[in-house]
Amino acid sequence: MKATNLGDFEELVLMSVCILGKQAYAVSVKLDLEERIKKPINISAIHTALYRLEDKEFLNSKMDGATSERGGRRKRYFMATSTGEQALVRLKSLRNTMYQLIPALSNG
Amino acid sequence: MNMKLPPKWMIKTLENVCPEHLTDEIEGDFLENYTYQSEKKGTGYANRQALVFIIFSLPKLLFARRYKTTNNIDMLRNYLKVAIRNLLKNKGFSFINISGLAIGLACCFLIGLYVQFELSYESFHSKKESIYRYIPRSSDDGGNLRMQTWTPPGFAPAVADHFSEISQYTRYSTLSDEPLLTVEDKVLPPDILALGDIGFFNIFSIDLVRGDKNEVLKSPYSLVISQSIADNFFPGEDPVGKVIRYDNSYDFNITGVFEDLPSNTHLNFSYIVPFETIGDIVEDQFGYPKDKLLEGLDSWNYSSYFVIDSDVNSIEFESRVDEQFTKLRKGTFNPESVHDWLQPLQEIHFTKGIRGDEANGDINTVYIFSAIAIFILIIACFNFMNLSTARAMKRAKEVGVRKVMGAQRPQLVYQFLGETVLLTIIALVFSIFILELTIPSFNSTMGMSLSPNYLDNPMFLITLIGIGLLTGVIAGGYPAFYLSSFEAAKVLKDTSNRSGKSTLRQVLTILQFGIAAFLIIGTFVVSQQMNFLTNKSLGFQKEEIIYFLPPTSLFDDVDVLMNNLKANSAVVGVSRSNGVPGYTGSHWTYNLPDEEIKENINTMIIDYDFLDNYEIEIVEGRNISSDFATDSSDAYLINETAVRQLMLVNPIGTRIQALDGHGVGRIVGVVKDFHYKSLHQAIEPLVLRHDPRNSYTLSVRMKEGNLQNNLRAIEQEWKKIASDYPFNYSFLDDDLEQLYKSEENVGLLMTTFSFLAIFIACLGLLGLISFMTEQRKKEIGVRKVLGATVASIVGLLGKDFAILVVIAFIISIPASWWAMNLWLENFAYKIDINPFLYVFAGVVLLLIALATVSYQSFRAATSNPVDTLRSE
Repeated sequence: MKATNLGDFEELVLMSVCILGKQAYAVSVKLDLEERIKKPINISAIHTALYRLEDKEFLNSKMDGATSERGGRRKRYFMATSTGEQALVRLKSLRNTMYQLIPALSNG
Repeated sequence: MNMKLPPKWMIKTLENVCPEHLTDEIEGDFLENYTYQSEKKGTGYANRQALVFIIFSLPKLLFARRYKTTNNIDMLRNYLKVAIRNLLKNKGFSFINISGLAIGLACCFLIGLYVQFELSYESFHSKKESIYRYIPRSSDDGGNLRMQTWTPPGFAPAVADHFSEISQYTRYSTLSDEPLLTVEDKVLPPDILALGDIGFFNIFSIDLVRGDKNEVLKSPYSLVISQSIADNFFPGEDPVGKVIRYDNSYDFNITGVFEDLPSNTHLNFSYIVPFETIGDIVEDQFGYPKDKLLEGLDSWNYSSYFVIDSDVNSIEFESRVDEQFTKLRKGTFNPESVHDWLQPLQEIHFTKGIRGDEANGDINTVYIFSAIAIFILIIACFNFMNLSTARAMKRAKEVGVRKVMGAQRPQLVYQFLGETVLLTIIALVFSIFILELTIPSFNSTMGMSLSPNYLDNPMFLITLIGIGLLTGVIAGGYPAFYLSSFEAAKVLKDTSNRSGKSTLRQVLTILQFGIAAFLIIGTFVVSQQMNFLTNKSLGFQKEEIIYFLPPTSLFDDVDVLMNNLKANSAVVGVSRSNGVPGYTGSHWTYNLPDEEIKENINTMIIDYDFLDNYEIEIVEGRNISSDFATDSSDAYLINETAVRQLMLVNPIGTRIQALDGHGVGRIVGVVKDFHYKSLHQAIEPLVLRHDPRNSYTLSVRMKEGNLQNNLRAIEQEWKKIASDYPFNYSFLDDDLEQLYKSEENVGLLMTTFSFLAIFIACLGLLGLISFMTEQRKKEIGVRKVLGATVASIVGLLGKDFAILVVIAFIISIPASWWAMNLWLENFAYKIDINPFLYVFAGVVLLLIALATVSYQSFRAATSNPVDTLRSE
C-alpha cells in the first residue's frame, strides 16, 4: 500500500501544500509550517520533502512567478495530485479509526 | 521593499554548484528566504542560516549535477576507482610499496630535521651577520694552525675603543667552577655562570622576559637568571629585586630574567653577571688585582665578540685589529706569519679545532647523513619502479582497452602518475606517524633537541609535501611512460607474458643493493674504528678513577681533603693536576738554554703521586718526588715525543725553564707516551711539572669493586670539608668516551639507517621474486615433470638475484673504500680497512638477499606441477 510511504514530515508538507493551494512553493510552505509548529525549519528540509513527494507522485510542480525579492528567479509551484489527496484522506481515516479504539482516550 | 542580499561569495558558490535545471528554484528560494530572515531576525542570523544552507546543500547539489557532468569528471572518478581497486587487489604489493616509501620518506624527513637543526645554529640572532668572535691564531713549528677562543680581558675594550668600525663588544666566559648560589636557605642548582659586558643582551638576541636589555648588566653585582631557574625558585613571584648570595659572602641583585637559551647556539649558561663584578670578587678572594683581571693583556681567558659595521671588509679589518693588538702588547709575542681571525658568528658551530670551544658540530656528519637520506629515498623509489614495471603486464590489457576507447597517451601518463602520487600521499601520512614515534628516541640517543613541533613550521611542511610529491613523480614517471607505451593491438591480441626480463630492472636492483652494500661496509668500518678507539691502550689507567674540581673558595682546604682521602680505605691514591688525561688543554712557553730552543709545549701540572696513580711509566730517569726538596719547582718531566721532536740526545739533566717567572730547572725523567688528548690528535710533546698553585683538579683512584660504598666514603670526606657544596664528580672512563660521542652517534645512526636501507631493498626483492615465481610457474611445472629437483629449481630462481647482488657488491667496494678512508682521516689513530671486512660484508649481504628470495622460490619449487599445468 503506497500510503504507508508517507512520512511524518512529508505528511505535514503535503497538507501545507494543500492548504496554500495555488501559492505553494518552498518558502511559503516553510513559513506556513513554521507558523504552525512554532519551530524553525531548514529550507533544505522542505526542498527534500517536496522532491520526495513529487517522486512519489503526490505532488505536481511547475515553474512560474519571478519576483524581484527572489533576484528575478522563478518559483516552483507545487500542487497536490489526486493520489496525494487520497493518501491524506486514507491516513486520516486510519488515524481516526485507531484513535477511537483507544479506550482511555475515547471520551477525552 | 528593501532588497537584502547574502554575501556575494555565497551566491557565486551556489550558482557554480547548482545544476542548471535547479538554479532558478533553489537560488530564488535561497534569496527570498534570506531576505525574509534578515528582516525578521537580523542580517547576522540570516547569514548564519545561509552558511548552514550552503554547507549542507553542497554535497547533494554536486551530486545532482551528475545529469550535466562532463566526461572529464567521470574519467577522474574512473581513474580513482581503478587505482583503489588495484591497491586492494594486490595487497601485498601495495604494502611493500607503501611501507618502503613511508620508511624512506620518514628517514629522509628525520635527517632533514637534523640537518635543518644543525644549520640553524646562531641563526636566531638578529645581528648574526655582523657579529664576529675574535680568534687568536698562530702557527706551530709543524706549520699547523693553532686557534683559540681566549683573548686577554683588556683586549676587547681597548680595540673597540680604537676602531670606530666596532659598534659594540662583549667579553664572554663561563666560570670553570660553579659558585654556590643561595636564596635565603634554598640552594640554587649549580649551573653554568657566565660573565658578560653591558652590551651582551644587545648583541645576542636572547630575549629578556624581565628587565631591559641595556640595563640588566649595567650595575655591579647584578645577576640575570634563566626563565627555568626563575620558574623553579620563584614560582608565581617576580624574581627581579630578589637577592642571591654568592659563595655565602657576596650579595647579587636579580635584575632580569632571560628566556632559556635555545639549543642551537654555542652560548650556554643559566646565570650571567657583569664582568667587572667578578674582578671585585677575585680581588677580594685571592688578592689578584682587579685592574689586571679586567684590563690586563697577559692572561688569556675570555672570548671577545664584536659587532662590526656591515660595510667593513672583515678580512682586511682583522689584519688591522691584529696589528693594533700586537702594538698593545708592545710586541710581547713575535709577530706571526698568520694573523688573527674575525670568525663570523654563524661559522662557530662548524669550525673545528679551536681550543676553548666545546662540542662543535661536524659538517661532515651533516653531509654523510644527507647522503644517506637521499640513498634511502632512492632505494625506496627504485623499489617502486621495479615493482610497477614488473607488473606492467597485469595492467597491459587495461591500457589496451583504454587506448581502443580513444585514450590519448598523455591521459594514460597522467593516470599512472596520479596513481603513484596517491600512493605517495598515503606513504607520506604513514611517514609522519613514524616520525612522531621516532623523534623522541632520536633526541635521547643522539643528545639532540629536534623540536617535536616540526609541523608548526610552514617551511618544513611545504618541503615535506614537496619532497613527497617529487618522490611520487620520480618513482612513477618511468612506469607511467612505460605502461602508456603499449600498443593496443599488440597487448590485446598477444596473450603471452612479456615482462620476463628487463635491463632497467636489473640495473635498479644492482643500484639498490650497491647502496645497501656501501652502507653495510660503512657500518662495519665505523664500528671497528669505535672498538679500536675504546679498546686502544691510552698509556694510563682510566678505570676506577673519578675526578672533580673543588670550588675556588675551597682551594685552601684542598690539602686537608687530599690527606683525608689518602687515609680512607676506599681510596688507592689521590693526586692533583691541572686537568685529567684526555682533557688537557694548557701549554706554556719553555726555554731550553742548552739547546737554544724556545718552544710552546703542552703542559700538565701534576703532583708527586700523579704518575703512580695513573700508572704512567717512566722510561728514563726518575719520577718527581717529595724526597728531593728542589723538585717542587726545579724538576721537569717530558714525554718520549718531546725527546724525539726536540732532538735531545741526552734528555736527563737538560736545563729547562718555564717562562712565567720560574727559575731554570732540569729534566729529571722521561715518561712513556700516553694519550693526554683525544685520539683524534697524534701525541705531541708534553712537559709535566709540579706547581701546586695551578693544579686543583683532584683525581681519586678507588679500590676495585663495590663502587657505591667507595663513592659514599669519598663523599663523606667531601662533606667534612665542604658541607655547603654538592659533591659533583665525573668518572674518567665515561668522560673519555664522551670524546668520541659524535663518532659513536654516527656509528649508531649508520647502523640504523643501513639496516633500514637493506630492509627496504629486501622488501623490493621479495616483491620481485614473488612476481617472478608467479610468472614462471608453468616453466617450473614443466621442469618438475621432466625431473628437476627442488634444489635445482631454487638454485635457478636464486641465481639471477645472486648475480645481481654480487655485481652490486663489487661496484660498492671502491666507493666505500674511498668514502671510509675519507672519514677515517678524522682520526690520528685509525684502523686499516681489512680486506676480510669486505668479504664478510659481501657474504652477509648475499645471505640476506638469498634468505629473502628463498622462501618464495622454495614454495614455487615444492608446488605440485599438476596445479600449475592443469589449466592449459
